Amino acid sequence: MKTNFPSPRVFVLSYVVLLLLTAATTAVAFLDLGPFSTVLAIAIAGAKALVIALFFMELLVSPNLVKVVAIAALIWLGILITLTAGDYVTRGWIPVPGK
Amino acid sequence: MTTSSTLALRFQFATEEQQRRVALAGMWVFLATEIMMFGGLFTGYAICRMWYGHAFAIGSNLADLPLGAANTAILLTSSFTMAMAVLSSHTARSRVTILLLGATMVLGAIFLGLKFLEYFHHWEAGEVPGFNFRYRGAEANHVELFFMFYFIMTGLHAVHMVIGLGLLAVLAVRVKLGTVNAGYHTPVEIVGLYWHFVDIVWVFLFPLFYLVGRHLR
Repeated sequence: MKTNFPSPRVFVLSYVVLLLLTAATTAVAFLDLGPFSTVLAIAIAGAKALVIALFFMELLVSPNLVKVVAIAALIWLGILITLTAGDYVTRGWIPVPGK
Repeated sequence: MTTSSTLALRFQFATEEQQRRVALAGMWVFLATEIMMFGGLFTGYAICRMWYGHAFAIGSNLADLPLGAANTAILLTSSFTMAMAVLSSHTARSRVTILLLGATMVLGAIFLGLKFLEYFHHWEAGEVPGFNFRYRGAEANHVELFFMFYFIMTGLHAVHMVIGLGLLAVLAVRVKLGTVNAGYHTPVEIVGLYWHFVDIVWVFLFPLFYLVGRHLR
């Protein structure tokens, strides 16, 4: 059964990168960056999640079917966030009789 | 090696490669449902934080940052040992695999211990909604809302950790018994996917509960 899996070095490197990103996000939290703080925190968390998914979860070397399922999961999450946010953002756009 | 791996091929699959591919895809389908469950909670958090940003900053500054950061490092390390266990399961060194699975469990248990210590501190400080919440400062009811999200989301995450520890224990036993071996190591990969997912959830929980408005204090 052919299974291509990453070398231990890939995992060690990923682990180090994850620890560095954790230190970075903690340090940056103490800077006054206004609304950009949130964007940066989510971006760093997203980067860490990507490292875990692509390397620890071996998505990069997984069969294509598996990659499609993972991407589909993200798309579904995107639908959840987009439509929910759309609800709140458009509140008050159309007047309701009696209000 | 070939004997035990051929015995592990279920009749409905044509090849072992197909069986493994289906197992991985199936696990990811389950993880997709988990992403949707946590996603709903994260979306609720996002809306409330958008409305009550200042209260959420107050709440976040009441969270124990050193403990949270330590827990993040511990969980990342456990993901590393889990990934190494998956690699090791491809080889015939079952003792190394069991040791790495054991290390993952120990790190997970330490995480849970620190988490409950944190909960206890919040209890002593009167910051547990529905039980003894007594913060009476600015925007108290919205700070209480922050702590509701905190306990429910980290609590749900902790439940997932406990389940993960159970899975790891069963897996270690199966490796010891030899039913999971170098010829058939898919279960190790599957449990690994679950454990890494739980780690990813924490990776997002950490900045959203521990790092909000830290520059304000």
